[in-house]
Amino acid sequence: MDKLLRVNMSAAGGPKATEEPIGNYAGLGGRALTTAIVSKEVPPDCHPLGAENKLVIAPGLLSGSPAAMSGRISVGCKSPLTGGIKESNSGGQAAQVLARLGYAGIVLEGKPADAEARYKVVINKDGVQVVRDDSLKMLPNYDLIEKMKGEYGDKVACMSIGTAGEMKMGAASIACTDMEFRPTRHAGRGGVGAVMGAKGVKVIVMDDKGLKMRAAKDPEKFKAANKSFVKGLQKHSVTGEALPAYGTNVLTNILNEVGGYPTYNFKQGNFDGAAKISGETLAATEKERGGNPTHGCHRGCVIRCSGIYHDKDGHYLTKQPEYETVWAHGGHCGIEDMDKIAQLDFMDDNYGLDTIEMGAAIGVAMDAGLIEFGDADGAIRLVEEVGKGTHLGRILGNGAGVTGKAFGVERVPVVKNQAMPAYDPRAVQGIGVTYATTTQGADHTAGYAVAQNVLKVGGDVDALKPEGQVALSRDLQIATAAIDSTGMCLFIAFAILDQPDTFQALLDMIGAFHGTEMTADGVTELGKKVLSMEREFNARAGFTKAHDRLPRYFQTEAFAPHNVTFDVKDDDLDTVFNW
Amino acid sequence: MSLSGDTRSRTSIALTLERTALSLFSPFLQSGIWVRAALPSSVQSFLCDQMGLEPDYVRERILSIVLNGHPVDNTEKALLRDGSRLALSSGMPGLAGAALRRGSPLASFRGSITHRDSAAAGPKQEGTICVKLFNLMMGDLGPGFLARGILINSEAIARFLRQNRALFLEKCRSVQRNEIAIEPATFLEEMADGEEELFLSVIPPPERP
Ligand code: SF4
Repeated sequence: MDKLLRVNMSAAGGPKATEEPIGNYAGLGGRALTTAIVSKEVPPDCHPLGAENKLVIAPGLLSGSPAAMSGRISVGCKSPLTGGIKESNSGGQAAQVLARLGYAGIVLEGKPADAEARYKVVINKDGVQVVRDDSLKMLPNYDLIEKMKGEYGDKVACMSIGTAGEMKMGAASIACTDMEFRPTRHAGRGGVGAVMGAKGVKVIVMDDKGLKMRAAKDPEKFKAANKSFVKGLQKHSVTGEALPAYGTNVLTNILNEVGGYPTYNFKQGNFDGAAKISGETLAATEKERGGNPTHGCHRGCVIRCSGIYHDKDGHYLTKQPEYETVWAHGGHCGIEDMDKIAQLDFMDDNYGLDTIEMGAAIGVAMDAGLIEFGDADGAIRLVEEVGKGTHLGRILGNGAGVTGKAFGVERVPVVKNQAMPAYDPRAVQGIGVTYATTTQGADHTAGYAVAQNVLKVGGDVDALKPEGQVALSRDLQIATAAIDSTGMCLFIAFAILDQPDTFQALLDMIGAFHGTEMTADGVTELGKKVLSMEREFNARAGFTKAHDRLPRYFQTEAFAPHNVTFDVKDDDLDTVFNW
Repeated sequence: MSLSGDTRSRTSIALTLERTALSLFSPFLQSGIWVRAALPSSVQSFLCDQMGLEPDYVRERILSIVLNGHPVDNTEKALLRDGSRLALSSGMPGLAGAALRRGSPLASFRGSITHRDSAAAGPKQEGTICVKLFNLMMGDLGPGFLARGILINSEAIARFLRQNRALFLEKCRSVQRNEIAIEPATFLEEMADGEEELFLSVIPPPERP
C-alpha cells in the first residue's frame, strides 16, 4: 500500500490512469488519507460536481491483512450535499481487495469531455484499464452488478453508483459489494455518489486474484495482538452478543422507551409501532423465514452485526436494514410494516441512495402533506420517482433540505444541509452537540463512543455535569476521526470503551503490522490532525460558527414525552474545537 | 394501561410449554408484561429480592434500565410504584446506546431525561408494574418472569395464540385453569370469546434426567 492510483477523467485523448508513490501521504489511511488529499488538492470553493473536485477512495491502515474488523473503506470529496468536506465510509469487500492490490487510495480527478459517457475502471494485478461502456447507463446497482458478474465473475469487488449517482443527486451513495457479491454496503452520506457520477465513472471493478494477504512487519506480535483483540470483541456483551443477535436495530426499543426516537418528522419521541420494527422482531422474522440475523458485511468481521432479510415467501429481499434505515423509513415516516421498510431499503440500495437522507426527505414531504404519515406504499412510490428521476424525484433525491425548501416546510431536521439520523438531540443532547459541530453535517458516527475513558483526550471531565457534553463531544470526535483512519469498523468501540486490554490489543496490532509503536497519544494526535484539516477546509469553503447550529426549532419546540428542548448554549458549541 | 386491583381474584392459567416455544412470547416481553410486585420497591430490591436475581448479574448484565421513560443510573434510589414501567436491556451499541447505560461516562449526554432519585420507600403492599424485556434480557429473564406469572388481557392472549395456533398445539404439554386441567384445544376455543384479565404463568416441562 505504498502507491496511489490517479484516474484523470479529463485527460486529453480520454481518461488516463497513472500510478504514483504515496509520497507525503505515507502512513495515512482511511479518513486521514481522504481528508489529507481533499484538503490539499481540492479548492474549497470549487463546485462539488465540477472538474476541480476529487473523489478519493481509501482503505484503512490494516485493510487487506488478516486483522479482524479491518474492512471499512473511506470515500472523501467536497460534498454536493453539504458544500463542505466529506468522508463517508462503508463495509463490503472493497477495502480488503483494494489494499491487496497495493493501493493506499484511488483518486478520481477531472471530468470527461462527454457528459453522456459512462466508464468502468478495472483494476487487477496486471494493471488498470478505464473502459468506456455506455451500456451501463442508468442501470440500477443490482442489475449493474449482475452484468459485472457476467464479465468478471463474483470473486471481484465492485464500487458503483446507481441511477441516483448518475443524476448527481445529493442523496446519492456509492455501493460496495458484500461477500455474496450484492451491492448492499454503501458509503451513503453526503452525496458522494453524485461526485462519482460527475466523473462519469459508473463502476470500479477490483480483482485481487493471484495476490496474497498483506503481511505484518512483526508477524508473531501481530498474530498475538489480533487474537487478543478478537477475544476482547467476543467476550463483550455488545460486540459478542447483542450486535450479532439483533444488529444495530437493537436500538429501536430502547430509544423509543426513553422518548428519544424521532417520530413523525421529529415531532415526538415515542412511536407506537416500535416493537413491530425492533431489532428483536426483525431477527425473529429473519430466522423464521430462513434468512440470517448474524452475518458479516465483509470477510474478517467477527462481530457480524448484519444479516439477510427474506420476504414472506422465503426469497432474498435485502440485507438486514440498519437501525438508522429502519428509523428513517419507519418511525420517522410513521411506517410500521417491516416488509415495506425492507423493500425501501432494497430500493435505496438499488438506485444508490443514502437511506437516512431518503427517509428524512420523505418524512419532510409527509409533513408537507404530499402523502400521509404511515403511507408505506406512498413512500415506495416516492422512492420509485427518485430512481427514475422524475421532477418530484429529483427534489426528493436531493435530500431533506431541498425537499423542505420545495414544499415550504419549517421543520427540516438538517445540519449543514445533511439530514439528522435517528436520535433526537433534545433527548440525547450530547449527540446534538456532535450533530451541530461536526465537519460532516449531522452525523451520528462523527462522535462515536470510542475509548473516551481510555484516551481522556481533553483531560478528566466530570461526565455527569452538563458542561461535560461539549468536552465529551470533542473527545469523541477526535477519537472517531482516528479510528476512521484505521479502517476499523466503529462497532469495535464498545469492547474498547470497557476493556482497556482490547484497546491495547488494537494499538499493538497496528504497531506490529507497520513496525512502529502506536500509542494512545499518537491516536489522539492523528484525530486532531484530521479534524483540523477538515475544519480548515470548511472555513475556506465559507463555513462559519453560524453553521455549527441545530435548526432553531430544536431550541423552541418541546419534545414529548419529556418536553425537553436543546439547551446547549451557542457559546459552548463554539468551544468544541478548542484544544 | 394499568392492571391493578385485587390480582388474586383473577382466573389463573398455567401453561406447560416446551422450552423452545417460550420465544413465542417475545412480542409480549418487549412490548411489556404486567407483573405483581410488593411496592414501593427500589429497582435493585425488586430485581434481587423479589425476582431472585444475583446482584452481580444485575450489575454486569442489565446495563441499561429505564424507569417510566427515564434512564436510571442508581438502581438503589430509583423507586417502583404501582403502575410503574420498567425496561431492562443489555448494553447497546452506538453513541446513544453507550450514553443510556447506567453510570455511563457519557451520562451527561442524556442528562435532560435521566431519572432523578425517588423519595424513600414507604410500607409495602401488592401492586402491579409493567416490565419490558429487550434484547438479551428476553432470553435471560423472560422464562423467569413467565414462570412467576404475568397479568394479561384474555383477548390479547387469545388473538396471539390463534395466530400461532399450530405451534402452540404442538408445543403445549398441559393447561390448567384455576388449577384444573383442560385440553389445550379446548382452552384455545374458550379463550376466543373471553374478555377478562388473566393471571398467566408459563413453565417448561421438567427436564428429563
Ligand atoms: S460489525 Fe457490522 S458493520 Fe462492522 S464490519 Fe461487521 S457486519 Fe460490517
